[in-house]
Amino acid sequence: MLGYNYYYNNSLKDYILIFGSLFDEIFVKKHDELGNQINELKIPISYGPVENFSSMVERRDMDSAGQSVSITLPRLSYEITHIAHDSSRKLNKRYEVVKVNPSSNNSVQTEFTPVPYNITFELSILTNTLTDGLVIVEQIVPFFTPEATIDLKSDNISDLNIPITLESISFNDNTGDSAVEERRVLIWTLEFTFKSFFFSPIRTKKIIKKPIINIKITTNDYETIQEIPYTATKNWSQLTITDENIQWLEEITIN
Amino acid sequence: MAHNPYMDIMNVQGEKDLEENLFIEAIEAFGVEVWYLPRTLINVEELYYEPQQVIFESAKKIDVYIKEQMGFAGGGDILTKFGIQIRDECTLQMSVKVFREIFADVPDYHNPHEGDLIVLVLDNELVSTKRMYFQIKFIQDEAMFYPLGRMIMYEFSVELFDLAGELFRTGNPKIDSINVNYPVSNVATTAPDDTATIETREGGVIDWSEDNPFSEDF
Repeated sequence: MLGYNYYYNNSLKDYILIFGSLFDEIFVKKHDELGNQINELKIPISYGPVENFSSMVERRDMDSAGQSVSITLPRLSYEITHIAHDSSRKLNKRYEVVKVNPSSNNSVQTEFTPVPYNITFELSILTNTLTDGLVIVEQIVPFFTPEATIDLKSDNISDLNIPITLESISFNDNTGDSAVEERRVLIWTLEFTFKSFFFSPIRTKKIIKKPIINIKITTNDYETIQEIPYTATKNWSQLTITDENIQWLEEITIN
Repeated sequence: MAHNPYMDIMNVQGEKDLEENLFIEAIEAFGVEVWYLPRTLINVEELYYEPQQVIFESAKKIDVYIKEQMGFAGGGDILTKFGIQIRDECTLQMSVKVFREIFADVPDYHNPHEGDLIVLVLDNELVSTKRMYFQIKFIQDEAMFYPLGRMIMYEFSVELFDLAGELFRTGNPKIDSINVNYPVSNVATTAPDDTATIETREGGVIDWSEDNPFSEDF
């Protein structure tokens, strides 16, 4: 294995929630001939792949009220279709981020730089009228130019700015290619690239309080002439730049 | 060759009435009673020929004969990325004469229309009643090809209804309550599943306070 105990940052699940939350306030309003609003629909959104059993149980619970329809429309669905490493955003892998350990004064938390991955999300819009689809698409598209950036804050994810790019929009309408008895299905598919980071496990390291310096003076042939062991006695965690410290540093140089 | 005037079976009024009455009696005996809901279109968009809003304002009882005897046709229950979709279909037969008698009080409504609803009441028990909302996809009025010179039957191809914000104002609370049980219409609310989970769970993750293009203050 990779040398670590079990860890799970919940990052992918958070990214899925974040992406879905961008589209959870979409409405379709209906008007009469005079322009008066007569109906307003809040469009539900759900993550596409779900467990069969739970879905059937939930569906039966809804039908238990006594009525049964095929499905409620319009409806949004989204899912992850692809995850790929983004080498253009790769950072120095030796670099470690150090954080304060909230549970201890004698240690710090560190983690390696996050690894950039592009997550491809597919957002699908199912309607049975062209009008509803146009209304929904037009509430999404203007915010992506073609990129929109959101700010994240989480216990699991370091504070991040996540760019989301609208890559493409496709549309499928089965009208015209099917028999008159066929159910009309209009599906808009919007593909997004979500520029995410994945984080390594957080490790705890002790604070360096007592540095021991062994200085060797050598000849050009690396033959040791003199060894000068030195143990700093200052409390490094409280070291601040003052005149006294400068004097102390100079003494090291002299020795 | 001239038409035989002694064998003119297409123009015997008594025979026609007898056949039609037998057909109606057969449906009443072996059929089921359903609710028929005509569709009212509000503000039809002429470019796409789509109504802005559909309202069902009346419901009338009528007898139909279900051709399928061993269960619904169609695709059955399908798990799609949009959730469970039930694609039940069936074929219903109805008397032309009975339909016109029932809807005689409705102006300019002498024939059924595609898009109208038929509510099929199944499992009609005291404790639970299951009402299935079917939409007429296609009306085949020549399925029985003018026997004795008269069209006596409509044959409907119906499929389970896709509820898309239609308003039910029939006055029958058992039918109209679909707007409560599937609350995607009339008021700004959502289906009981789906969105609520996302809205609840994203609260601690995404920072809406910043100037981002999705915030209301942007």
